[in-house]
Amino acid sequence: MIGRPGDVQGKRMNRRRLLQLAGGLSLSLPVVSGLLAACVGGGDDSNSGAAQAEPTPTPGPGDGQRGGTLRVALTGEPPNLDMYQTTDAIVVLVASHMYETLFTWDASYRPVPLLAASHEVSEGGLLNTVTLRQGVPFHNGAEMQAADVVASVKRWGTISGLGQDMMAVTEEIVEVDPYTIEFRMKEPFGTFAMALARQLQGCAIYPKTVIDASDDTGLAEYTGTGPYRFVEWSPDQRILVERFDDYASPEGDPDGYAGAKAQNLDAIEFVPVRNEASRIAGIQAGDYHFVETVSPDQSAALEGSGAVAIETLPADSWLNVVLNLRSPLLGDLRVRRAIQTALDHEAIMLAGFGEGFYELTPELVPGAPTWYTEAGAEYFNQNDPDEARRLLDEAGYDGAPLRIMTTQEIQQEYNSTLTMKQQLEAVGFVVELLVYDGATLSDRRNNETRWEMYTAWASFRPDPVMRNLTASATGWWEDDEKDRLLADLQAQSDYDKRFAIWEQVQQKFYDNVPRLKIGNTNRLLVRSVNLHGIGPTEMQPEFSNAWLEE
Amino acid sequence: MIPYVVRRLVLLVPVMLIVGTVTFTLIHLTPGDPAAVMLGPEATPAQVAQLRSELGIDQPLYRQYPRWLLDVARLDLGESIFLDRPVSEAIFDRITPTLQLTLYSMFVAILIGIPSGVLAALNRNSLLDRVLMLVAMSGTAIAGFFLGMLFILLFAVTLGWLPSGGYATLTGDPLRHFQSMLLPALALGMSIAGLPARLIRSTMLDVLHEDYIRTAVAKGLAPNAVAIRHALRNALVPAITVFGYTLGDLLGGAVVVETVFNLPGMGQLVVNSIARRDFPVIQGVVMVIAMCYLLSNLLVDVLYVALDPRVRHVSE
Repeated sequence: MIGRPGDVQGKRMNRRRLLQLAGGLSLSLPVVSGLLAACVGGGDDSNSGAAQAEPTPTPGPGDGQRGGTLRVALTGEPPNLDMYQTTDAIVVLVASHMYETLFTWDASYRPVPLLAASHEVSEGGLLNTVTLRQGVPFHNGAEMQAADVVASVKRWGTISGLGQDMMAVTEEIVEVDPYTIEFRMKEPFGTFAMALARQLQGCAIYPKTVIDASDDTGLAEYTGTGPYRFVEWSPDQRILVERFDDYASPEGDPDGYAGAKAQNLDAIEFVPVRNEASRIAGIQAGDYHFVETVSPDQSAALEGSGAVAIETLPADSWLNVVLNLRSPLLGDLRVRRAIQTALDHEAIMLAGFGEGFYELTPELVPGAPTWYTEAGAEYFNQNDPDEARRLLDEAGYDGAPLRIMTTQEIQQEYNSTLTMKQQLEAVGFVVELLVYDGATLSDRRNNETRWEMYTAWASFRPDPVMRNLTASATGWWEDDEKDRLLADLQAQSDYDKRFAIWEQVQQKFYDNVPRLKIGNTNRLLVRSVNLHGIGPTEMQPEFSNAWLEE
Repeated sequence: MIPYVVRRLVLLVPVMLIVGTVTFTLIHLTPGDPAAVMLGPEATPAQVAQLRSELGIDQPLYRQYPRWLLDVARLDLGESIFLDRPVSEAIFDRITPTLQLTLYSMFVAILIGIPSGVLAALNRNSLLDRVLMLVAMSGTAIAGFFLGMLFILLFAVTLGWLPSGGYATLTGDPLRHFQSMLLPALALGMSIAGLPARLIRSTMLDVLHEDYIRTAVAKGLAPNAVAIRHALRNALVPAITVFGYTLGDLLGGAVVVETVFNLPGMGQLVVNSIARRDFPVIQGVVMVIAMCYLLSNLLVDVLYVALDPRVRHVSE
């Protein structure tokens, strides 16, 4: 578990410290921290004009009306309903109603037990003992026990990247008794509970019988312990889940993704609607109660609709430009630094997201104020074309094309890239813009000979260790010192020590320029006025406490 | 007639082979990787390579092509990479909404095209003629998906009379079925109604100057009887050809209209499969659509011969 931030006395109370304080308080006082973070979210050095909407409050378990089928318009079809398989967030949105993890996140984004009853660390961090809640049934009627957890963790450890990382430092997993599991580690793993909490490719707990009948590419059946059980999946038409009457709800008031689940809704129907205009029209017409993603430029069109409520959510993700460090051109730090120096982030974000839907701050984990740091901020948003030209001259740039990949499928990324292209050409780069559809870009980015830069999205992470900055990610940032710091960040459990490590990693990010953080982006939450109690959305919304007004 | 039909059916085999080979080549030369799509935006290159291997899509084309050809010869369209089920099953599930949409759109096109063409011809160069042709051609000039969006905004969002999209089966919920199919059928039908309207108008004008029409009028037949029984009947023969060939346009238009209205038909399946690079499904749907197009052409040719004795005499 992460600890509390250290004493802040005697330090300059700027926005950074205030955010840190908010984050620190959040570890013990979630309500206060929520208010504080919301208050400082639109501070003076933010360029955002967006109103920092109050997060949708988490309702009490008995607050809502019972009944009804919630219709959710998805942006597409999930590739599968196995949590381990994909980094596509749409799977979390759908499948987290069916499956549960050993841990989840409270409102302060602190990992707390969900299927676990307790977690103890001993032997200097080398032994993690997890005790399970008793009497938790799977949808097939069998009780969840240690054998199911062991089988799930082992399968997760062979399929997902995070699981493979954890298995690399795990000596063995021992089923002590039906409700106790010991994880014997080769070295301390301070982020144990985070690794096993809800997230992309999270370690959902499936029955051992299902895992035995499944292979590494998919599940034999969709059975979990979640508040809703799988009913039907008609590809490209709908995924239907219905209330699991025997669900063993966690105790306590709802708190972030943790606490009691009221299961107000009879059923949830997820409908893939690829066309954004159709999603918008559908929610306006009352055909859907919630739409997964809406681009900011739709807000004006939606504001006049009496059937729809919209909220601008606090910025929790960022526009990310990945640089190819294996490219002959960008292998030269001076060229990367020239790109970093040339860019005017304000103009890029304005072109991509519009007034009120972005903010310019240097931290790499927006939405998690505990981890706010301005390390490396001197390199952020420099907008200094003269210095960029000087760096290019110094590097002996010979006009080799700078190939930037982007896609028009995400218009914000495309518009931002066009502005970036103009700025880079203005300092002397010869830019070749490669516009692909999403599938082509996903393919091409894995080939280091095809590109120098591409635009992408860095989505919310509650903890910096969950952001993949290793050399395994595209861009191939290889740096022994950074890798050592990342390993320490994973091994340590003390917050102060981890924060100090993270500051060094972020400084290295700006020093080595493996990627460019352009700016934070605000998302729009669009729902029917009849839908209430959505709860947090940073790690995808969960409708277990939501309810529909008649 | 029967030898002619048999000869045409035999000729379908090489045509389908060419269609299949061109499709196979094009989609495999198109960049994009189903494994990368399935693994999501933050997958590492190593994870993508691992899944490609597990799915068996890392084989070179010269190995994949003969295997695909053999499967097709056995009428096996393969397994969908993304849907994890046989392509033929996926297509079978989706063919009904597409056929229904095509049928209803054709009905809309006939309902608009034929009366507009007849009335315009009978009132040649009048204001009615110009208005009817303007309306009919406007439908053709506006893209089906745009017309669809306008209909959604008017009938679903503003008036709330009809759903904005989705599908219900005819047997499961007939009312909801027709409610959900009305707007897409109107959008698609109107987008093709202009052509038959223009054609009927022009052939009606030709027929109205024929001697037998003058004779019918001279006999004292009512103008409506002359127009419908004598003129329209003969003017319809060339229109049948147009309606037959329009089937291809309808199948093509359905690809976009199904996406706008979120109809789970073959059009939506192929659009989604292209985005996912689900190669076997794209190949399968293209083959099925090509076969539908070829068979409808054959049917039109056979009908034409059957309906027009002059053609029959020439072919004999």
